[in-house]
Amino acid sequence: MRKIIQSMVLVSAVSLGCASTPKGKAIQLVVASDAAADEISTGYEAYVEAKVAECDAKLDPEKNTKEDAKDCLGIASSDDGKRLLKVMESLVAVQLAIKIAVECESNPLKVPEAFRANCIDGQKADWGALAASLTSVWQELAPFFEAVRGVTGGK
Amino acid sequence: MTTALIALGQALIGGIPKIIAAIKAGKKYEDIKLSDFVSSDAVEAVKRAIGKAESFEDKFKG
Repeated sequence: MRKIIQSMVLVSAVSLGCASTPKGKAIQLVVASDAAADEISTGYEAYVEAKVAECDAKLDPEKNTKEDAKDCLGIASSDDGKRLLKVMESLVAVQLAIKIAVECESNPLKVPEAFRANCIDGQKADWGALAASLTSVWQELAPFFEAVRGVTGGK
Repeated sequence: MTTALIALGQALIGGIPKIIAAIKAGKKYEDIKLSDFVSSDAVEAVKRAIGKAESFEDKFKG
């Protein structure tokens, strides 16, 4: 996926010249969210293990409830883990929509038929809507990214 | 710029065969799943983490 993103950045740099447009913002968000998703997917398990150890030392199964355990785990709870998977699914869907949008404008005849409905008039993309969708997904992903960064040290 | 666009087109076409296969298999665009695109290792790591959290939570009363 990273090669695709790098290609998108290259084209954007050439064709846009700046990132202040909705298209530029969308491209920037794809790069940032893609890097965050990579880091989360590799660091989330270690983060959860650390939080479980921390909460295991703090809580007593005889005295505390399952809700206490979930509260202590915070974003490492099973509910939040399931939410993370759904957010990552949304991210992939929006990234794909943006990749298709880039192609709508650069090479519309090669857009697979199943995705042609994503091209306005066959060759334009609604960059404002795409940037808004990705911003929304990014906001949901950000807490996980911040939490995991504390464990991975941003590696 | 033309060269860059051609490179992009090739990268895009090369990057989405799994998605196209999923579409051909009857999936709708909206139904594309993470595992169609992200490596199964990354998905499995998150699922393992969920399992570890659930095991810990299950030690506590309902």
